[in-house]
Parts: sequence; C-alpha cells; structure tokens
Amino acid sequence: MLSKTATKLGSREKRSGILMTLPAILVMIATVLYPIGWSLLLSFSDSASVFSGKFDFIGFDNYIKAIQSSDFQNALVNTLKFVACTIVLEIIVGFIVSLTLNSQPPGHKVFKLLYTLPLMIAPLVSGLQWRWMLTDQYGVVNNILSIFGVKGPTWFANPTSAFAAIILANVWLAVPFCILVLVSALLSLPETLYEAGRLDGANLIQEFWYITLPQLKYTILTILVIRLADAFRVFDIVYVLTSGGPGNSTEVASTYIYTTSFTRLHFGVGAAASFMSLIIVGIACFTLFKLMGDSEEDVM
Amino acid sequence: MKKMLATILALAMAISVTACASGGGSSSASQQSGNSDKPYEGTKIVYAGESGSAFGEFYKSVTPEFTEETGINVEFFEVAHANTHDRFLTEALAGTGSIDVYQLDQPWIPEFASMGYLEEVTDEIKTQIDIDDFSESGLSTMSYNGTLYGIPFQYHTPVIFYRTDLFEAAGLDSPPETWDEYREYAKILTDEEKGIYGTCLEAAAVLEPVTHFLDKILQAGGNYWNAETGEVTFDSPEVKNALQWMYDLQHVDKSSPEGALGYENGDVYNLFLEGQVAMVSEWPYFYAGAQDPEQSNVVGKVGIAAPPKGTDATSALWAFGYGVSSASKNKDAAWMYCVWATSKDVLTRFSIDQATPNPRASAMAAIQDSSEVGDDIKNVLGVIDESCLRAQNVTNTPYFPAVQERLSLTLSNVMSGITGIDEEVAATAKDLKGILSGS
Repeated sequence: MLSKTATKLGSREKRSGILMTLPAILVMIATVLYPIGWSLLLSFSDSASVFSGKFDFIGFDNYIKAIQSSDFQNALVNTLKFVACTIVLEIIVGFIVSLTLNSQPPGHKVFKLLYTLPLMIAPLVSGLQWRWMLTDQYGVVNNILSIFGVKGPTWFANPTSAFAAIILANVWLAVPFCILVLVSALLSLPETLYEAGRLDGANLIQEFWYITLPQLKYTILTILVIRLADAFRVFDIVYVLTSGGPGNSTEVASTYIYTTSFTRLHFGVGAAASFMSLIIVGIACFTLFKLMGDSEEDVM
Repeated sequence: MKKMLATILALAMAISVTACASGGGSSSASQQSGNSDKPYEGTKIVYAGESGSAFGEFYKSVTPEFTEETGINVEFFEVAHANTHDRFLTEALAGTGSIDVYQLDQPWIPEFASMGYLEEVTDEIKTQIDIDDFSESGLSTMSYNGTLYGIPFQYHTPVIFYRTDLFEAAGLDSPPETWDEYREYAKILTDEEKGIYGTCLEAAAVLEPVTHFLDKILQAGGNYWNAETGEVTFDSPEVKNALQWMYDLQHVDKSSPEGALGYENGDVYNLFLEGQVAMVSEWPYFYAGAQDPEQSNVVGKVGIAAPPKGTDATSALWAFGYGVSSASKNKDAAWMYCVWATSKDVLTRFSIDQATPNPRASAMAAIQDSSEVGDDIKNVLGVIDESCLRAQNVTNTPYFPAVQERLSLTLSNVMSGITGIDEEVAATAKDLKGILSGS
C-alpha cells in the first residue's frame, strides 16, 4: 500500500517535473535541435534547396567539396593555429595574473574590478576598438610605441602581424575568464600543503610545480574545454579586424563558412564545413573530457 | 518548407527588425485611413538601409516630411555597409515581409532581382517619377536583364581629390590627368619625414577596395568578363597592367602608406581629412567631409578632378537606389516612399547637402541654375557628373557579390606579395569561370 502511494507520489512529481521543464525543452528543440537538424539535412543537399525549399539530396558531395577546397583546408589550419596560440597565451597570462593577485599586492582589489571589464564587452565591439587602436598611422598602440622610439608594425599589412593582432585582441577579451576561474581555484587550495612543502625546503617554483599545478589540473582542464570550444568558433574578432586578410592568411573556419554560405551562396558546402568543424571540436572536447575523467580519478 | 527555412535563417533578423519597428503604427492595410488625401495614413513601412552613411542620415532627416505629407510612418532598420547584402539576403530568403523599402546597393541588385526578391518598377511608377528625367546610365545600375527594379537616388564614381596647398608648394600647376602623371605626382608629393604620402591605396581583404581595383582594370582597357558573351576576360595583359601599376605605386615608389595593404575606405578618409595624404582617387563624399571644420584639417584646401586616365578615360559606375521587397505587405505605401525620395525636390536638396550627383537631370539642372549654391559645389558636382557619364556598369551579373569577394582576395594577395601577379591572375580567372557559370 505504502509502496503504491510512494509510486503515485513519485509519478506525480515526475509529471510535474516534466511539465515544468517542458517549456525549456520546447524552446531548446525549436532554437537548437531543429536548426541543427535542418542544417544537417542541408549539408547533404544541393545549395539550391535553400531557394527552392525542397531538399535535393546529393549524398556527401558537399563534404567532399569542402574537404577538397584549399580555402577550407587553409581556414582549418589557421583555426587550429589560432586555437593553440590563444589558449596557451590565455593560460600563461591567466596564471601570471592570478598568482600575482593571490599574493594580494597593493591595489589588487581595484585590479580585480578592472580585469573583469573585457568580459562585459561584446567581441564585435572589442574588435572595432582594437582595429582603431592598431591602425598604423593614427592608432594609439603605435603611438605609444613611438614614444619609446619603437616603430610599430603595420598590423594588418602582413600575415604575421595580422595574425598577432587577432591573437592579441582575443587574449585581451578571453583572459579575464581564465583569471576569474584560476583566482577562485587558488583561493580554495589548502594552505597546509604549502606549509608542508616549505618544511621540506621547497622554493616558490617547486611549490608552483609540485603543489599548485597538480592541484589545479581539473580547473585547467575545465578552462581548456570551455575556451577550446569558444576559440574554435571565433568569428567577430577576425571579421572586424582582418576579414581573413591579408589574402586569406587569417581566414578561420567560421569566416570561411560565413562567406561560403552568404556571399558565394553555397549553403550546402557551408553547412557541411560547419559540421566538420563541429566534429573536430567534438573530438577535441571529448579528449579533454577523457583527460578530465582521468584527472578526477587521480584526485580521488 | 520555405516557411521552415524562413524560421531558421531569419529568426534573429525578423526579431530584430520587428523590435526595431515596434512602436510604430500597424502595417496592415486594414488600418488604412479613409482620408482620400492620405490613403495610407497610419500605415507603417520599414526602410532597410546602411547605418552611419551620410546619405542615410540625410534621408533620416527629411523623412518626417514624407510622414507629414502622407501619414505613412517610416521605421529605419539599419545595418553596417559591409553586412547589408548578407542581412538583407537572409530576410529576402525568409520572405517574412519585415522589410518594405530597400536602400538598394547596386552590386546585389541583379542577384536579388534574379531570385525574385525585388518588385519590378511598373509603368505606373515610371510615369509617376517621370522616368525620362533619369539618365540612362543611372537607370542601368538598377536594372537586370532589361527590367528596372529600383529608382536611383545617387550615382557616383571615384574621382581625384587633391590638396591644393601641397600641389602649389610642390610646384604642380594642375591635378594629374593620366596614370603616369598620377604616379609621378604622388612620388613628388610624398614626404615621409613630414608624415605626408602622395596618395593612399586600399588593399584590405574586404569588398570596398575592389571597387577601386575595378576602376583600374577598366582604365587599363580590361574587364573581368565580357557581359555579352559571358566569357571571363580576367587573365589579360590589361588586368595585369592594372595590378602592376597599383603594386608599383605601393612598393616601388612607396607613395602610399605601408599600412594601406590593410586599409579600407574609412582609413583613407581619416588620413585624408587628417592631412596626411596629398591626393586620393576616392568617393564624392570625401569632399563634403573635407569641408567640415569639425572633422577636417584640410578645409578649403581640396581640389577635385576627373579620375586618371590609363588607356581609357573611364571608371566603374556605382549607384544607390530605392526598391520594394517582393515580400512587402505594404507595397503601395513603400512605392510612395520610393517615388517621394527620388523626386526632383528631394534629390536637389540631397545633392547639395551631400555634394554628390544624382541621376535626375532636372535636379542637377536646378542645382546648376541656383544662385544659392556656391560655385565650388557646382564645380564638384559637375566633375563627378561628367565622370559618371564616362563610367561603366560592372555589376551586370547575379553572381557579382561572389565575384567581388574573389577579387578582394586577388587584390589583397597581390598587394601583400603573397602571390605574384601572373599566378594570381590565372587563379582568379579560373575561379571566376566557376563563379560566373554558377557552379
């Protein structure tokens, strides 16, 4: 009898739970699942389907076209380069700043407020701001460099400096997130470990290498997963700063997909390219999750 | 299926347009007034145009007059110039009818027309606007396959703007007329120590610099294709000469700032108004900006001349116009706006305000006859108008946006030295064949 009542109550709770989450589920289906499903269908269809409204299946043709396209290959290589550079720099700068803040130097409270500001700025606005700042003839960055007798580069005129400009702008935008997460994690580390280390004669570098870094392994992996997915889909900064130029030296997957779809009107190829990008990000994230799983076991 | 597509491709667009447009009157015909003088009173139309442009601002400032005359409310939905094609295409694909009047940019008119996204200009509208008052070249920019899809309110082509004070100081009596003179003068006028460059090119990998590249191709006697036969003519000595001339100006003479390889129009505008460039081949709006003391260091020091002649005295013709979306639910009210916005009175005021010509002969004649318009403006408008009459329409293919995108890569690759001229021209010609055949 009791179990029947419990079952009844349980199913009632289940029903109200479903009812309560239903609106969110429906919104998710309409705004996430449906467009993804539609795009998947488009990636196997002729681009003209977008105009005719009827899907004309052509198998893997769009995928083959994208893979064979030197533009897409170039965009993928650039994206991987971008992701690797930006994430490494974000982690390094994030660590330097968060360790400094953790030692509570004078003015750290004001700085804590300041470093979060980029988080509140839209990437598009940030891109425009950096474009103005890096313009060679009247930009503030080269102006400051000239005060110190340094001739600033013509940022957008050659592939290397254009790539550096994108990385610089993106790191500025993304590093506050890393700092925020790392500062929180550092605060939670038990002081006893450091005391034990110091008793064993560990210096600052050894403390960092043998205590801080292993303790933050899980945090770093979390940052990596989030930032990897985010960096891989970079669009605004590149679009505003270089539009993929000079030539197509800073073209990334997102700008390639955008141009292919909306300028060349090859919607099918664009959809196929976006799914291949999704697969690559998926594999990378899966690998990191796997590492994260191992890391959790290590921690246990 | 089309509705589904609409939902996906244009959800954000529709929401933003609706959001922009909210607060105005209803757009349904059922709300039309019974007033016969103002049959569409209370109707709301959405005008989709370019944000931040001088001519867009002009139309925003005068549109309340239209509302007063007709009772039709006009809501402005604006997008940055670089994104107008993509945003408006998305809306057109969706067919939601959230846009009524397009501020048409010539490069994408054939594409939109071929896909049925634009209403044709009917005989009735042609009568209302007095079609014979518009220049043929102006109307050609709004046409596709012999059918008119929009009414032009502005046409222009890049012309030379030069610093009269710097020319005088350098002992140069008159502006350059030919490519050779342009190159020679630019070299003479360059003084890197003083931070002055003879000229300034644009070679960023974006669409706008392509318009200047096309000028050079036409002036060299070439073209990217033969519109009559459909043959791609890009791999030619003329196109190579055009690229070589630009490359030499930048890298051999060093008459253009090093950073020009990453510049687009706005950068050149800023440098010219700052006083760092002696001479540019640029858009007519430069003149109005250069005469504005609030933003210019070169007020009263700017002269104007026709574009430099290569083997041919020509350039590419570009225009903006007004057209009606075929998905519009307020077509009559939208056409009323187009007719009003291109009327003689509005276009006369437009050209005086913007120092840019328009294709309506009576409006241009009124300006030349007016005693209230200064000789400097008359001269500027005269030079640009004459240059427009020699200019050519290069956008006569539905694939022009893709052509322009490919040519932006060509220009950027060559000017940045990423690829050599011969190699890049051959690769571009191959790609253009694919693009223009629709594959």
